[in-house]
Amino acid sequence: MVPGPGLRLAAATGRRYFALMKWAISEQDAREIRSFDPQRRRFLGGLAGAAWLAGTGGVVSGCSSANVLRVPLAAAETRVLRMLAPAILHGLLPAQPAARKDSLDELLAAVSTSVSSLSSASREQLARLLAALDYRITRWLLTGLWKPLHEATVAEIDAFLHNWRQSSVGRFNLAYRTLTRLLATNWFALPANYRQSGYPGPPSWPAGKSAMREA
Amino acid sequence: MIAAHHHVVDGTRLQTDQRLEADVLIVGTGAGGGVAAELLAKSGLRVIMLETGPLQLGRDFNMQEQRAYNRLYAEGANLATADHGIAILRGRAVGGGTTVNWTTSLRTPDQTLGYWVNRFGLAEVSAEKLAPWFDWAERRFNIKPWGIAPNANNDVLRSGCARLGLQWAVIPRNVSGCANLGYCGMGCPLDAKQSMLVTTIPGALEYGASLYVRTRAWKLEIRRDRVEALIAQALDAKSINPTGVTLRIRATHYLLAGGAIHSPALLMRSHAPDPYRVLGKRSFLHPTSTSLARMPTAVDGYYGAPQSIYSDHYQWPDGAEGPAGFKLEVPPIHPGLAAGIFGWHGRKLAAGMQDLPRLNILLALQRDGFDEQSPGGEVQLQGDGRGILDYPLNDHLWDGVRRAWHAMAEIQFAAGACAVMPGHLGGEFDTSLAGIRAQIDRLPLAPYQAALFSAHLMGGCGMGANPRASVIAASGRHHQLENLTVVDGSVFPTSVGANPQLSIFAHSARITTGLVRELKSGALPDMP
Ligand SMILES: Cc1cc2nc3c(=O)[nH]c(=O)nc-3n(C[C@H](O)[C@H](O)[C@H](O)COP(=O)(O)OP(=O)(O)OC[C@H]3O[C@@H](n4cnc5c(N)ncnc54)[C@H](O)[C@@H]3O)c2cc1C
Ligand code: SF4
Repeated sequence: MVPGPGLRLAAATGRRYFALMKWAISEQDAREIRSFDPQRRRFLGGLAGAAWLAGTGGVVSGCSSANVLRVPLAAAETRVLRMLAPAILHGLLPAQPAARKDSLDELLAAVSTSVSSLSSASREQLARLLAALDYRITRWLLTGLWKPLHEATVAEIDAFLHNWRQSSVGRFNLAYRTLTRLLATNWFALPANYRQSGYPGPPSWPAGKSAMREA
Repeated sequence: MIAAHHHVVDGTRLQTDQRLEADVLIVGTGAGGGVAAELLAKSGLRVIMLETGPLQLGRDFNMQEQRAYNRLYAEGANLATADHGIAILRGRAVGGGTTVNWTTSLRTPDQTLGYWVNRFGLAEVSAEKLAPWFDWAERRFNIKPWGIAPNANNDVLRSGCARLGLQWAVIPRNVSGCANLGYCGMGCPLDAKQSMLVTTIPGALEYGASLYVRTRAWKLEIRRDRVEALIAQALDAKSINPTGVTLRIRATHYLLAGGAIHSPALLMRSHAPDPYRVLGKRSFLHPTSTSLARMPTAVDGYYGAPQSIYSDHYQWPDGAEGPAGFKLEVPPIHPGLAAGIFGWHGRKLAAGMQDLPRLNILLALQRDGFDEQSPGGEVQLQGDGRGILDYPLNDHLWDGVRRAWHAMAEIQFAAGACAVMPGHLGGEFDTSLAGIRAQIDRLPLAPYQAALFSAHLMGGCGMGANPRASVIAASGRHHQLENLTVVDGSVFPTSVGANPQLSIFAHSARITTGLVRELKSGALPDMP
């Protein structure tokens, strides 16, 4: 469904309203994270605040509950990351479709390994962020995109990432840092992509062993 | 080297609950725990070591970032403070931080020790009294000023400082037979780095100590002023979730060396006495800001000893107190780490990264905890009972960050940089010093925007003469628990003001030697 002009206006004001609300929430959020009570912590963890505002807390935390947390990356999460990758890694992914798919598969496998190293608390925060981007109302509140991510163009995704980066609302900067770091760090650390940064790779093995050693 | 005849147990493989006994139980095998383990075992005491992380040896280290971060770092190197304002690198494998650190081995500055003596009543740790312990550690870990020319990344710091007439010095490193590869942060593939993994831990095992890996100390059972037992959890292959198997270990003495988040967290979870509410407070981490420069010729910052030059020119501007001082160093520049420091996306990211071979990065490590305006952070327990560091960012800190960006940019241009940029989401490379100065003054100083990180966790179980203001005494002994001693980076009452490993080695040796003399008179004749 494409938002009509009315909805677009609502989106614009909604975003501003949301930005204000987020400001208040982020203060509280820090306190919540410290609190010992798991019930309370569920409430406003990071961007789940968006879900809560939209009255969808149940749905979103439902997606990010125990079963999701147990797998490295759930199918819906992989889908979201796959949609973000072409914008975050603009100009870096191969253009040829088969090569592009292989390289995205390799990236997602690496991301999945990273995610499996997270503690359950960090894993839960990431799950919430990805769920919020997957779920229409929260996505709309966070990014202004009503349509599903797979229908969004690279330019549209790039635009909301820009907004997140430049936002004066800390939580958006944090969401930006979290997602770009997860994808970019894993991308450039993959041997297949070394040449994009001009990194020659580690010294060849076992040549390093015989290399000159200090006296 | 850790060998087949050593007693090493992998918690992941344990099928049944265990009951164990020891003279001394050590939690954590990093800088503090490693040094203590060898001395205790050598004195003839029965020692058990517990380590959350896995055992990974030199032959497992293949110089690939992803593999190293996932296996050797807490949270796959995605750890951060509670509000994510500061990214944290923390080693989590046998050897702790020493397995992945950058080998910089500096003594605690005299100014820091003087401050501890005066402010915290710690006459025992004056520069004079500690000197023999530094001497000992420098011998044990073959610490010497790096004799090979710095790599080009470090040379930017050296030549920039030299041109501006600023102080700089060569860094001593704990290596033996180092091939100058530059992969210390991914585990040294040549076993050249004298980490705990190749020195004291095999040493302790050789003297008969036992090591339990992928095993997390969870709770101390405390009765009045004594620890009666420790309950530990066996962990899954990722060293994250408990398998359900538990270990109950009784010891005469308990030594905490889980590092500056997890030693306080273990005490908090165990409801250890804390009558003056000081436990976990005053936690420090040398908040570190970055400045990136594009140099005219190749820097190849991924190769060569990662840190070989530092500058303390800005470290003590007004003595110990007052505006934050900072130490200048450089990081190794590998592509994954660099992409994280840029923190960008799209074209800007691709453009920033495409010139990696010409990239130089300077670091400013802020000396926190010396001024009233720099109270540090606080360790807290999360919902699942695990420790987390809450570290609020304030104006005192931001003022230091801004001054550090100016200082770093000036040095980079003096060294011939074509363009410089502060590590900030809104940063842009600028080709003139005037331009970059204007940019630095304009950039908003806010969490997440400014890139801040730390690889130095300190404090939280601070030493002091006054039990109202400290957790442990100068002897390392807990003020309220008679058979519990702390020997890791958490003992420092402020940040160190230098990379902490050598300070931790020296304090752990000093504290452990005292403990051995108490538990077993006459042992360890070779110690100072
Ligand atoms: C990438 C990096 C580079 C660095 N570079 C330098 C450098 O060049 N020079 C320098 O001086 N310092 C450096 N440091 C810092 C230095 O390594 C640390 O300050 C030092 O290792 C801290 O020693 P520690 O004994 O306090 O704790 P750690 O070395 O962190 O060891 C604590 C160990 O205890 C384990 N543990 C924690 N909780 C438990 C528990 N409940 N049960 C069982 N085990 C537990 C942890 O898994 C860990 O292995 C660096 C650190 C990093 C991460
Ligand atoms: S620089 Fe030296 S100590 Fe570091 S990884 Fe290379 S050989 Fe090992």
